[in-house]
Amino acid sequence: MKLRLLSLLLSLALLACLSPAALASVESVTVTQVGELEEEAEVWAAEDADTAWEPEVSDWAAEEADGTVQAVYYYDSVGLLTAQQRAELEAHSAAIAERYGFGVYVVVLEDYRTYDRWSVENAAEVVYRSLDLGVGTARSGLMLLLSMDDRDYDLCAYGYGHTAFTDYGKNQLARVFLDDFRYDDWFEGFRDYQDEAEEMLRLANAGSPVDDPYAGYNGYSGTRSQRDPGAVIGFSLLIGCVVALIACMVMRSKSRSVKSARSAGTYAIPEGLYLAESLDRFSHVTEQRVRIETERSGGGHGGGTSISSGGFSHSSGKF
Amino acid sequence: MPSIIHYKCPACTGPLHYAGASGMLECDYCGSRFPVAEIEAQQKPAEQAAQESFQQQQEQQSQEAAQFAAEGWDASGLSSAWGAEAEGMRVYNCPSCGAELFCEETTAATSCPYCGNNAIVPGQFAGTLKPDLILPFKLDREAAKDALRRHYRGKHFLPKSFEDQNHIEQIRGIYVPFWLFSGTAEGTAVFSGTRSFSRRQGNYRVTTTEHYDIQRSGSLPFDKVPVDASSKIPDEHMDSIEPFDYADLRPFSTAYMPGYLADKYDVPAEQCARHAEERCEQTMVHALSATVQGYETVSPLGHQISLRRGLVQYAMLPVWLLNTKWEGKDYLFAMNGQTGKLVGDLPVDRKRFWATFAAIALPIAAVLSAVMLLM
Repeated sequence: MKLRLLSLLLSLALLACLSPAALASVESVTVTQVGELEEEAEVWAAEDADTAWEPEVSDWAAEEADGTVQAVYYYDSVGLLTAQQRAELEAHSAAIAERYGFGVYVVVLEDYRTYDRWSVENAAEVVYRSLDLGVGTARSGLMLLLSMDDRDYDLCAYGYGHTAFTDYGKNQLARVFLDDFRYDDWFEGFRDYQDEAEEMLRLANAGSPVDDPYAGYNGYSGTRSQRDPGAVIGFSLLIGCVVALIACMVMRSKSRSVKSARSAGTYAIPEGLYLAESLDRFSHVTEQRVRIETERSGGGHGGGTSISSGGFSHSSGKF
Repeated sequence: MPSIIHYKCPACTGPLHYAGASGMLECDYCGSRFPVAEIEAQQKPAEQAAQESFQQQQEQQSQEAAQFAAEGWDASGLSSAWGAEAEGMRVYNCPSCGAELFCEETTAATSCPYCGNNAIVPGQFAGTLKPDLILPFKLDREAAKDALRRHYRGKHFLPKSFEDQNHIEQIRGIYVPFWLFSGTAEGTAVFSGTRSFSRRQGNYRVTTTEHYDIQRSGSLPFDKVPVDASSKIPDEHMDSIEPFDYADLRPFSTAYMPGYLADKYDVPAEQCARHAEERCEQTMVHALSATVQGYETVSPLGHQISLRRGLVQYAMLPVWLLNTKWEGKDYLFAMNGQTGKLVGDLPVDRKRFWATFAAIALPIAAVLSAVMLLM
């Protein structure tokens, strides 16, 4: 028993090594019992060998082994909720995990930069791996990470989460809780998040994951939907007409050679420009971040799930 | 009644015309050629006599009118009855055949419709009205016809009947009066510029854009910006046949005019100056903009440019005007008499336009549909 508890502490220590500040910020994981770990850890390592994801001794591995571990779905270093509210959320996530074999998590941090200084998505991946989140051999799960300093959030899916939570689905899901977070209504936002995630899981299990209704393909499943021939012909005609109009207007412009002169460059004295003052003053800096599409599951047009090289899919922004 | 000035061949007394190709005055009959300076010297007494005659006639007409009024006759009815038609007209005698020539008051050079002799109207280029410069014709009537034929080529939407049935109704070589404005544009232009740098951060492409406020001030001199000074010639046509090569500009002489038409200016320099100022302003902004370098994007934010006014000159520039009519509509083409640049809008065959449109649009739509439906 002591040995297993020691293993759990080692796991948390690894997380702390990745981010010393996080050691203090992430609440300790409550573990009531720990089972056998080795077999689960080997699967986890083999699956993520390409990303150098080291197998970790975890509460999840223990739970999978003997089914007696109390999993944690809500991590909070800020203290947004009361103990009763946390318990309610834990119970709901546990019920979802039991019904769908899928983890729905919430992680609240002071500042995601303690895990990755560049992006909240990278930080989410580090946290997901460090806490060994996910259910089953596929480590399927969905994690909502909130970084309170700059009010950044990231929805991070793994395993079956790519099927159940497409890019479109994650955006729809985000709309549900962002309405509450806007007014700092954290508990209501987390509950809406769990409810909506459960509904999306139900739809995905029924074979109809929530995806962009206007996409040419049905997202992650990879099945091509039938295109409306009328719409295709109409679209093609429109493109053809635009191209033809441009070509015809170019040809027509050759018939017009009379126009009023707007400049007098021909009459400017060559090399005659005298530059009395030349002032270049720095004003400000703007930054634009565009996600790099590394892989698109289903290969569709606008639908499906974009998966990063780390094997996660994300939807992030500000709340 | 004053006589118009008639340039006669010293050898056979036939009419002379200025030939752009040779740069000399040539006799229509015997083909003799004479330098401009020689004919100028010979014609000077005749020109002076014609101008004096013209001035005497002006004075005589005003005296007669005053005397008529002094005798108690009410001449207001007469003047109003003739006014509409006689206003802006002048009458001259052709020294060759004696015919009376009715010309517009701005006409400076013409030809007699009865005997065909080339004639210069006296008084139009005298005193302050005398142009400073003249750019002689280099290209002749045939060159203008050739240029028009070339102008038709490659115009996909030109109605076939326009080209086939089209007959040029009139070709006129005209010395068009221009004001040439010189000055220096001065001012300041303000721009915004950006520089961007991209780097990869995790799964994101992060583009950092630096924004700059840019200001440029300076001056740029301009020499002889031309503005059409005749209200009868469309300004856009004259703008479009630019530029003229000022290296061939000569001090004004009527000896370059025989064989061509000419008008004196009827739009004063003050009215034309604004157009020249606007053009200089645009060019100045463009020149200042060209000094802004090292940025990925440059957007103009504003400018304040003014033209320090300099010399204004009155010049006669050579233009061939070609008129044609098709389906009841007049088409005017103008050719630079020095460089041969010809401009003029052409009609568009609507049927051919839409047929071409369909010939492009339908195959593209068909191929695109097939690709989208089959792949």
